[in-house]
Amino acid sequence: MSAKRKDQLATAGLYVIVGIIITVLAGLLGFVFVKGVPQLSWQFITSPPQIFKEGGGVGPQLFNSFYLLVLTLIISVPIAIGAGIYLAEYAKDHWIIRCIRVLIEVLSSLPSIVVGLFGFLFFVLYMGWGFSILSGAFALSVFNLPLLVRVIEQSIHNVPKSQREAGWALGFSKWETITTIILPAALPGIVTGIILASGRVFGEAAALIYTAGMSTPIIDFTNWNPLSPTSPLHPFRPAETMAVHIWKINGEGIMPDAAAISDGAAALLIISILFFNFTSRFIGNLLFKKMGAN
Amino acid sequence: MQSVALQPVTMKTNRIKQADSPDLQYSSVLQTTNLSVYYGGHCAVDQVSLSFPKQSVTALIGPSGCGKSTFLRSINRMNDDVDSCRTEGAIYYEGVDLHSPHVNLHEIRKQIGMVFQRPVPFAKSIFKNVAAGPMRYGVKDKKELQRIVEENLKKAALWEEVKDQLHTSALRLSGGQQQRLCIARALALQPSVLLLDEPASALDPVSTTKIEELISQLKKDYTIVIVTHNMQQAARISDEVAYFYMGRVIEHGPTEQVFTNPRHEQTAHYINGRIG
Repeated sequence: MSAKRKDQLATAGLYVIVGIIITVLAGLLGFVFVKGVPQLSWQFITSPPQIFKEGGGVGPQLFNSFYLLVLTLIISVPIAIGAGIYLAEYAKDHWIIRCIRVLIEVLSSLPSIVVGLFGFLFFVLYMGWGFSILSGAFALSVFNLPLLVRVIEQSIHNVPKSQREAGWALGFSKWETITTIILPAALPGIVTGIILASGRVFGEAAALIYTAGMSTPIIDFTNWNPLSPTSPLHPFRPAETMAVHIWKINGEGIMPDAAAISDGAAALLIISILFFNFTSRFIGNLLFKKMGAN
Repeated sequence: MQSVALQPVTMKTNRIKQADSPDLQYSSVLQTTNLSVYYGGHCAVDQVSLSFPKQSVTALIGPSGCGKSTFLRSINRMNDDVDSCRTEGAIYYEGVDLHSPHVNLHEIRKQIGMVFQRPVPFAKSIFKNVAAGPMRYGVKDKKELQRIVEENLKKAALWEEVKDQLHTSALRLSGGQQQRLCIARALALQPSVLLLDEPASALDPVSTTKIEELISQLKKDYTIVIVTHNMQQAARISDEVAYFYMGRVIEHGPTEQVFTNPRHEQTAHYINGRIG
């Protein structure tokens, strides 16, 4: 067989593989959208669910998903930036550091249900926070941190060494060089990583079932005092997210239109995650452009 | 414009530590005595004693790997940050031993500026690139920063080209402009010495010419040490030349003498292109 023939065969093979991937993905997205999008309406995404009758929505669940995401980012981003800076700039090649890196990799591949059960034992029971947004946010932070740390470490690592030397040559200390030169240069990568990790957190269910809980108390969207128990912001109330809601109504939903609601919620979830992905690209590109990298 | 007076290098005592070297020449702002630099067991710079007269350009020439860049980087102690690098001997700047434990490393690097082979603009605006140093040393006033940026971009012969785009990213400039920006950034700290590590070797001929003209301008105010691989460049812009080979200085003297009538055969061979 000639080299040209081999090349043609390999190219054809690659096209087939790509074709299979695209078919699976398009089929899956198409199925969810075809079934789900007709269910979406303003009423659906704003009103609370109904337990026994038709016409319920997913308003509180949608709010819970975003609120939990914001709390998770508030907890995990500062820790991840600190850890990323340490690993990229300060850590020497030492067996303890190598152990830490292996641990982070193990943590990033930990099944999320295991993270959820750990959260149940530690945050819900031991800390006594109960099924609450706070327990859920901490469990999601445990789930989210390894990925974030690696993305941030990589972004910082990708800033050329010459930038550090240029900072030192101006008399900047190591810390000043990191904060005024390296972090701004690494920012597009860091922001992209955070938004992509957000998409993963947003769709997470297993880690939340035993931490943020599977119910939402009656909340009053006119009451924004975080200390009041009926406020949507109250950190110690249970908070069922969109993903958990889908899982629940498929298992034990007794409303007559459970299947339709599940379809609508699934489409809404996927739209939100697609939104995160596109925003991350958009903001990443915007930051790169602003800094002038071609 | 540039004060040549002794400036205190120590921040704690505010007093100038006098060197104990008896043969210190005060006409030279910078001097090394028996400076050796080791990378692990390898001796990259071997007992180099050189002095650099005020407001002059000294070119360090020699084949690749001869230690001239390492020597340059040890002057503002950039090698401190390299693991396994060890330095022996002394460097005197304005009579102060730069290896003394009382010396403030940040102050050294402020007064001895450095420009690298490849332009390294920060991922910031042109304005912020130049203002980064002065802001680090406490200049907060906007008008004052504006003045510093303009003054130093003018000194670096870049002002006319960028005055309308000061707040766009420095990464959009061409390589030659970026290198002049890096020079402006170093000048903004009001150094008295500039260390240039092959500043034009990554640039096109037009940019190279601009950098060379700039260097000739700058030597009125600054003491310049430049590493170069380009013999014509060394001949054009330098007042003194030091020829490095295998970590040692083989010959050091006025440029004209070294180029027309070198004392060592080896120097003649290198200049005529037979080593390197």
